[in-house]
Amino acid sequence: MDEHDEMRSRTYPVKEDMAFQRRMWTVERVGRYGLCLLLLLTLAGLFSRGPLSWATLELTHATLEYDRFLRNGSHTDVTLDLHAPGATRTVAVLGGEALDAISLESIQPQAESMRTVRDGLELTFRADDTGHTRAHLSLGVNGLGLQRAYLRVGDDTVPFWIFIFP
Amino acid sequence: MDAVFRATAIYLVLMILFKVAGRRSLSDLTTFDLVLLMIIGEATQQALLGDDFSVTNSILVIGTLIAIDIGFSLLKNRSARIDRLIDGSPTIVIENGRVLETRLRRCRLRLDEIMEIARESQGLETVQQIKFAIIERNGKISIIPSD
Repeated sequence: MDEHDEMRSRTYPVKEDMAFQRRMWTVERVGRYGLCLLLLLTLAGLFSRGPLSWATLELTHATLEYDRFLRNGSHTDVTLDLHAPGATRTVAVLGGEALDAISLESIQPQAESMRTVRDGLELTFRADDTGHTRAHLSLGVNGLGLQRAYLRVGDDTVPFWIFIFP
Repeated sequence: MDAVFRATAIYLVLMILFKVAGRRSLSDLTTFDLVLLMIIGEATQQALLGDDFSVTNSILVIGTLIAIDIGFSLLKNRSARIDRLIDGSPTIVIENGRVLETRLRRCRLRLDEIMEIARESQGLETVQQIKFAIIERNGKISIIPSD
């Protein structure tokens, strides 16, 4: 039996619609490729925690390591490296609309002081003998879509963005 | 508000995923399929409810899911096209003892599986004894024996 005959719609004992069925098989096949692509993108970190998501922000006296792709309702860890040679304290300001979508759950080590400034959060840490501070911030994510933020250390301000998936 | 969005999104995503999986995927549940379904249920539950485990939220989510389901069934009643799109159409894979190989392959089925069902449901031994084997809309396979 040739393929052409196989793909002909029968009317008995059931009414077939092979044109539609073939389209559905195509959808299934495309869907399978789509699922594979989804898995690969997930492994690559498009939906948080992976090479595509890992980002590092370099300032003259600071480095911020964060995930640029996040998921609503999840948690994320941010590492803030501050270095001010000879200083006893290091100060950084995290600001922007992204602060409305994330909540600070914990900081390790504890900041010496924390206060709000115009549209951001100013963190002051006690530096070590070399004027260096490495702080780990644990953040809760509670927002959606593209969010802009900035990190300011001294006069140096660098903007960055995060994207929160539903 | 978000309860409705969550329930709608999960309903549609599950519908698309099970469409991609094909009709046969979960029609005959093996032990592993059952475990898989439980895991899917567990993963879905978190997304449906979020942090809100209140009675009100669960009522809203369940209400939304049932409303969407009723909506789709009304749409299916009104339009044969939508009915086919959601539930698919039956497909014959054995006709008068002849195996329709291409169809069988596209349905990701093997002749062994059809024969297993033919033995279980009709006590048939050979393909020639099958008049029609039909994959129904719900993924089950009906066997009609030759006279």
